[in-house]
Amino acid sequence: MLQIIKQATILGLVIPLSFVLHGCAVLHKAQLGDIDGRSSKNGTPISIKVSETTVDFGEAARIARNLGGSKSGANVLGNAASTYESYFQYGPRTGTPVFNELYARSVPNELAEKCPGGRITDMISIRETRAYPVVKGEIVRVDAVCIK
Amino acid sequence: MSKIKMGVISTVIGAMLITSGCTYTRAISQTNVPSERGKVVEASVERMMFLGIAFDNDDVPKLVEKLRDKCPNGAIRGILTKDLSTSYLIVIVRKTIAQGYCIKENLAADDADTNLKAAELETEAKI
Repeated sequence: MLQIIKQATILGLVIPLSFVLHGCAVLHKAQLGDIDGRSSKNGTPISIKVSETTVDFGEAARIARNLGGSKSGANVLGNAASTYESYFQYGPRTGTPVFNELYARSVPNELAEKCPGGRITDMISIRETRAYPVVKGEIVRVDAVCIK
Repeated sequence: MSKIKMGVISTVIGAMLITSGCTYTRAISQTNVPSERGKVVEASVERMMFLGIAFDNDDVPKLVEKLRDKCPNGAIRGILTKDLSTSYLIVIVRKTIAQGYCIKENLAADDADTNLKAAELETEAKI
């Protein structure tokens, strides 16, 4: 009996934890570049990924409100997060707003570093989000082939 | 109307509502279209997600390989990429479609040369 309870507890913890820690992957956009006929024969696959971690204040507000009663500290915190979101995280967007959009600027340089002196072709650019509770990772990933 | 007929009609309407989904286009992109437009090739990847949950997007990069396989001895230019989503009852299907022109490799090289020459001429003109 004790063994069953132990196993149930472990499963009860492990399954939700694996969901929370793994995070969901949300695809926003995929874009292909031209494909070179020579790439499959004499190209080297390269891949780069840049990302920025951010906080979803809307989600934080909803969680905080559900945690406490109407006059609890969690509720006050939820309202504050909601107010912040309504002023700073509104408008059209892809994924969750980040605090610094410069993270994606290094993409051309990183690609060039991976293929010095070569031609980069067969590019696929993927814009995606790795979504954990409240915390989000906004990602730009580029897969390509380097031909020298 | 008999009860059987009503039952059949209700079942058909119910089945239609469950199996048809609302679809929407998330994003579209297009690369430069070549002057020589050969055979049109198309490839797609799709994923069915229960409640819209997916743990990775690793199927998407395979689209390049799939498209390349459709044009083994040539280059693909003028690629149109479409990101689509269809929402069914508790299931979302995400689909990415790529379509382009399969052209012979020497024509692709000519295209690249033309672009290079145009860039060189532009640089000379600026100097």
